[in-house]
Amino acid sequence: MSPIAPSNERLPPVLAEFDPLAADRPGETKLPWRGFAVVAATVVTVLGAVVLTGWIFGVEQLTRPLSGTSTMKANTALALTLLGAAILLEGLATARSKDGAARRASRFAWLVPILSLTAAAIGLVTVFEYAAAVDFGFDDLIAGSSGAGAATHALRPALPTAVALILLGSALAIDRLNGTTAMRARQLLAFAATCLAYFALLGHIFQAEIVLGAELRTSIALVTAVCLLLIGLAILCTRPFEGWMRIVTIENVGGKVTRRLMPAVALGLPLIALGRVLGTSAGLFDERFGAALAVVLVTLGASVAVARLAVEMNRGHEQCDLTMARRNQTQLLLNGLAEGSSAMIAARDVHGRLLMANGAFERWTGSPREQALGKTLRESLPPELVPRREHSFNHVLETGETVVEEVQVRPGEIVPTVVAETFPVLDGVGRIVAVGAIAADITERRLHEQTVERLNKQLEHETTRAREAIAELEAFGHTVSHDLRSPLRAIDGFSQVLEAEYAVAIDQRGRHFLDRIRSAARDMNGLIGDLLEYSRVGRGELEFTHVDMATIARAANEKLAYEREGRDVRVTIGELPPAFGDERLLGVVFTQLLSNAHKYTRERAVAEITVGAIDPAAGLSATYFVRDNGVGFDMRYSEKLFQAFEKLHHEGTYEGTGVGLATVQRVLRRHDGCIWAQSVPGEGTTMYFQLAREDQPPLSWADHLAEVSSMRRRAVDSDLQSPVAQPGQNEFAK
Amino acid sequence: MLYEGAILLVEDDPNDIELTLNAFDRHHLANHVTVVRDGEEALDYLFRRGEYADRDGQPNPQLILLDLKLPKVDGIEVLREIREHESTRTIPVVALTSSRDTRDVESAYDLGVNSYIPKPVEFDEFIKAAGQLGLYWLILNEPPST
Repeated sequence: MSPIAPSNERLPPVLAEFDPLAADRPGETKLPWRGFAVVAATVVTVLGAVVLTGWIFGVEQLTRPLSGTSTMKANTALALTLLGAAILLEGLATARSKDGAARRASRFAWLVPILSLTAAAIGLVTVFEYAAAVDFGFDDLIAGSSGAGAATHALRPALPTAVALILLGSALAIDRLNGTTAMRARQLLAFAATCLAYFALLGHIFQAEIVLGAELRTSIALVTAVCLLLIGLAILCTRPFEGWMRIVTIENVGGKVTRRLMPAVALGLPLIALGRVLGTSAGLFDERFGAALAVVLVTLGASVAVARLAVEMNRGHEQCDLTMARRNQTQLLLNGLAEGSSAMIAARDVHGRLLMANGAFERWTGSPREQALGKTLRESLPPELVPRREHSFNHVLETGETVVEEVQVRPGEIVPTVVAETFPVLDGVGRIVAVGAIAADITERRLHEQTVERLNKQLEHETTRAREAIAELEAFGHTVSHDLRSPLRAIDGFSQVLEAEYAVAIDQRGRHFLDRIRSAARDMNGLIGDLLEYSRVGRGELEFTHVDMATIARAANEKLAYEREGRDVRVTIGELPPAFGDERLLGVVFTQLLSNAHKYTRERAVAEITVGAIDPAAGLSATYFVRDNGVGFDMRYSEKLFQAFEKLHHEGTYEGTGVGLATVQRVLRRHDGCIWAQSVPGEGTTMYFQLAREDQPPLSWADHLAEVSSMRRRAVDSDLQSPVAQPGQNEFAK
Repeated sequence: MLYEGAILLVEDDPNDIELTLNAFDRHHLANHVTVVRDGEEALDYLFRRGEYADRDGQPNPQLILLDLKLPKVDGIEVLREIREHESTRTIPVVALTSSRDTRDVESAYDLGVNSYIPKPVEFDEFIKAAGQLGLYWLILNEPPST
């Protein structure tokens, strides 16, 4: 079982609005914003819970995490715990990875506003108690009356704490889904609370009391201030890339400067002020000097910061200029390409509205670009083109595939014809943001193709006609040869009857004429036989098999036994490699060549005829030969040798029709082979032939010529240099 | 026993007819030969139609010498009809061919000729073919060779 079967199903492509500024939008910093939020919220939740436990069980120590400082009030602890838990829950529920924990958390996401609004309510009730100067006993709900009880509201959270709780609670209750404005309000509330906490923290550092009128001298406990600060920052960091937080988290010069300057200011300025206070109280310098020193330090710090800012901004500008220059260059190049091309180039957004088009578009559609931009397919194209283009456009959007098609601009007409490619334009994350189209005019090519097609058809027609004509001619030749035999039979037959039945009535002279008639009839019969054979080897299918050449050479030689009667003819059949061809036709080749060899050696006291192969090891590419020691011929006439009815000898010297070698050549041509001759007058003739190889396609003409000429050279060399014997051949071994 | 019309010669070439008859005559067999000049006539004769409708009382030939190239109805077609009809199916047919073209001979054998003789019909060849076909009455009729 394969764990994962590759799915053939293609997901439909994701479409997106074309947004030209998307590329310019800076990315987000990869700092662990959410991580900080989680840690801060966890710390506050745990701390709040510990303090709450202290209050519930009356463990004084736990209510005062930093000994010597004032206690965190029970309600504050409760509210902080609620807020911390709400932040954690929200963070988990919106976590990107939807694992088990996230799914469980998202099921309880509805708790977030309840928790945070409860915290806000605690603050609200407290503020109301302060404002109306009443005591609902609300402050003692958890802690009981175990408190000191000295002050009327010793257990009540400080007023700034209550205000901060209201701010934080309501901030957290605002859902992010409510849009940018809601997000900004949330961040504003959280920031305000953070400032309040920061203020309280500074108060502790400077050991100053926050005095809000004579009645409200309570101060925020140090731990509470820290917790509020953490919660405020955590809320800001839960949505680091939305609303105003983008100012800080964005990956550009502004973001970078903000991220560096804000902590520097928030930490640096209090340090300077603290230094001044401590220095003064330690008597190191007086108030005025301290003030001057602080101013100098602040100025110094500010100068350094401004200088850094300037450097950063300059660098940013340079980078920006460079990017712009590059982009301009690319833009220039792309424009040049689009405008310079004769092809129509256009792009449309996913709604079909024209985003860009080149000059060719204007020429093709006949409407100016400015008017077409922003228009849909229907509005910007000639109506006859709309259905086809809409179909392709929708196909690209539905499948994400490129469509290449040939379009006849006027349906049914060849002219003009274009080839159009419609393809998806993807953004950086693979969404289709536009559909591009490039179309080229191929009318000319189409017309050429039509011409070529027409010419091809014509040629085909001509070829068929030629083939038919050849076939007719062949059939004609066959029939004529065939029909010629019938009167010939009569001539011969009646002559024979005359000779047999009227021998007595005819004198010697008459018998001589009768002989001449019969001899002429025999010659003609032979000629017709040869013509029929010539015609036959050119027709019909070849039956290719592996042929034992030695066997068919011997069989051909047997048939010629009558030629050897009363003569001394020595025939040697050497080693012949097998061939691949039509056995019957190859038999004709040997019969014809051997017959010639017998014929032209008639004047020799001892006729020597050799059948062999130049290179028996060459297998199917072997060159065979038939050699005789006959009268030979003048090589000047070798060209005429294979033409039908051409004879190199006087009529009457050697009987024969002149068709034999033409028939042999025809057979070899049908095998993609070839034949050639080598002869010395008075010494003899060698006929060479070669067949196409089985394992290779028939040789190309050039190869063929090269091979044949090299064969010829070799043959001539071996012939002329060693006229007596072929090396490696035991011919004459009879 | 031989009777008139025991051998049917289907041949259109008058020269060939005369030469063949001459050869038979020299061996005193010509009386037994009936000649028809084309395929249609051959069929008419065999199936007693047309001008041969009243060929009554005459039995079918004992041997048919059939030229394969005939006017009107081709020899091959004649052969097919002979082989299709109950009354003629068993008559031996010797094809006369003007060449030793294997294709002609093959198609003739395919259709069921019993033998073939190349033209012109040499009597020796004919007797050889007849002997192969078991027609000993023809051989017996041959006078002692001179």
